[in-house]
Amino acid sequence: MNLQSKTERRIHALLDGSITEEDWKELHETLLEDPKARQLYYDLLCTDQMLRDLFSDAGEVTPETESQDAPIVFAPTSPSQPRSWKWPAVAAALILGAIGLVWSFSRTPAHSLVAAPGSHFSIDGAASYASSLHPGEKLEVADGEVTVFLVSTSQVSLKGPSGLTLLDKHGRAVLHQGRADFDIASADSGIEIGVGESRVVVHPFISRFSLRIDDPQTFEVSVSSGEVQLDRRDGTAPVTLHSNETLRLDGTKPPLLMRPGTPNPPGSVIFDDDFSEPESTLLNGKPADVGGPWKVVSELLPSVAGGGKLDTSHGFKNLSVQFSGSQLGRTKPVTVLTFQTLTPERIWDKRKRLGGIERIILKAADGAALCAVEAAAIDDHHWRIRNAITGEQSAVTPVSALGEQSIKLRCDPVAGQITFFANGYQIARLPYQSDKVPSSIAVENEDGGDLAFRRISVELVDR
Amino acid sequence: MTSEPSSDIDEFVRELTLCQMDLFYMIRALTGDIHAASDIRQVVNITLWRKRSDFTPGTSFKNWAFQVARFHVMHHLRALSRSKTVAFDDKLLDLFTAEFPAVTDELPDRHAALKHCLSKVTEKDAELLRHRYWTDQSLDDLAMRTNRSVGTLKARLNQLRSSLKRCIEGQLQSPAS
Repeated sequence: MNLQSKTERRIHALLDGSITEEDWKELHETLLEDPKARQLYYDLLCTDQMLRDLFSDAGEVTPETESQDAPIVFAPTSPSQPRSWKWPAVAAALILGAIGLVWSFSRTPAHSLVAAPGSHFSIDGAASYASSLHPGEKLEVADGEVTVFLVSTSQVSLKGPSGLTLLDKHGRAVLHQGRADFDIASADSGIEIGVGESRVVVHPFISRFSLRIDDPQTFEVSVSSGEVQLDRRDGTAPVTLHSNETLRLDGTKPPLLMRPGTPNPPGSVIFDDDFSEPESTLLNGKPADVGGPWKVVSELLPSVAGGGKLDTSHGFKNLSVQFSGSQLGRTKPVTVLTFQTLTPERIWDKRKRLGGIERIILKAADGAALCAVEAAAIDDHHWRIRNAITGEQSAVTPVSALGEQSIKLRCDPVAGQITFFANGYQIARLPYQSDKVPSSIAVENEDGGDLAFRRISVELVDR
Repeated sequence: MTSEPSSDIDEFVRELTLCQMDLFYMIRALTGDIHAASDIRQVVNITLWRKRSDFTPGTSFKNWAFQVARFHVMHHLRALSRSKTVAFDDKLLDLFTAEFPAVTDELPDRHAALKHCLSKVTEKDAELLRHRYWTDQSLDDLAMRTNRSVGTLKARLNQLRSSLKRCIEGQLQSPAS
């Protein structure tokens, strides 16, 4: 081992508090004589201390957070391998569900169901803990997510609030309200889905698609992979939707087919998330109610959402999410970002850490930042608006980012301004010109800046 | 004591607040002991507050605070040397005191670089870092849970610290990479 390696090993031992007296004497001599050794000491010491600072700022581990009620999980960020304190419960539920599935097909025509932890649902109006759904029964999910195994390995996941009635053992069903995500694994499954009170029936092939009913007159089918056929049963030819296509039917308007590249119509909600999943759902890869999925660009600890809240406390975070549909071909849309904030969990360090900042940025497809709101610790975490193209920013508003507020940011390139509303009042305004169209949102917090959201949505509106 | 303008006190408190991180890193470098550094910083802060009238506005608050810190660290280490505990000598403390302010000037950039570098570590290594720096628990639990020896985990931690140090240096030289 050369001197450099020995010195490095001794510095590590010093940092860990495990250095022997003999090694310490050697290290002391080396540090006195060798400027490079001192630089190595400074660099490793800073790295060690910065790691302590980062993880310490992310939150102390208290007995409470180590318990099963902990909001923070020791979990990988990969959505394909969720592992958290709830994993044993989920695993148990899945095993029970799988056993129920085998049992149901061998004994009765019931369909197995699995509820995510924290979900509440009823069957035929009675609160339920059942693990199966029989033909003729109506499943209503109040909150959380419940998955029903239809036939074979095909399944539907209902996000609360939503309701579905299973019609028969072949997987025929009617979605009454809310949103359902289907994963159809067999082409000849015979599954068909009725949509609310309408006469429309969805015949899926091998596909993944979501069905959302906004009101009795309006629903939307979005296909993420495979093919789905819609039969309106009014004498018109069935419509086949392919991967990445969305069809929106509104009883008062002609059907609207959105393909990749088709601009969203005015009045469209192009992003919406109320974080109604079970608590501690990993954010990375989590679909939004409209748009998404969420992508974690960087984070110190795994970001989680659920229980009606996204709290970015516990370390720096840089989160991103795409809007639904395409904004291509659209020129100068009026984009309205609406969000409701709550007091974040980690509030006590907000005056101490003067470098803290919270930001929400609307970005174009090329990643260019367009308009933004930001709240810096040096402004006592009060919002400003920023024209991210010119860098111009408003004066500090009296609106805190750390309290319960209802915020609206209107980016209007036609009127040539960004307008900031809080709790219904117009608070600030800035000039704004851009031909670029927002297609994603970024939520960032740095160095002690934290935010908590009840809901975030983005809408294209008529002027 | 004559009454001080509130604006002077506000400014002093602001400077004192801003230099807390640099001060802690400096004291830790001088002592080599994170626990002692925490205690000494408290004493240094009290001294800085009591002697605030000695500070000359317009001069470097950080340098003044570092000199006060050096005095307290020397006092602390002399007490340790009497108890035959290892401690850096005055000559080395002088070198540290002279060289370390330049290191603290880079701390904001180093922090940003470290965040970038952390995004590149594997999940297995991230779990080790979380265990070491977030839970502050011994490595025994993790060793049992992951079927690795404590020695292996310690060695991996050292490698990780060194790798992160190199990554930070790379980031400081070319932030875009």
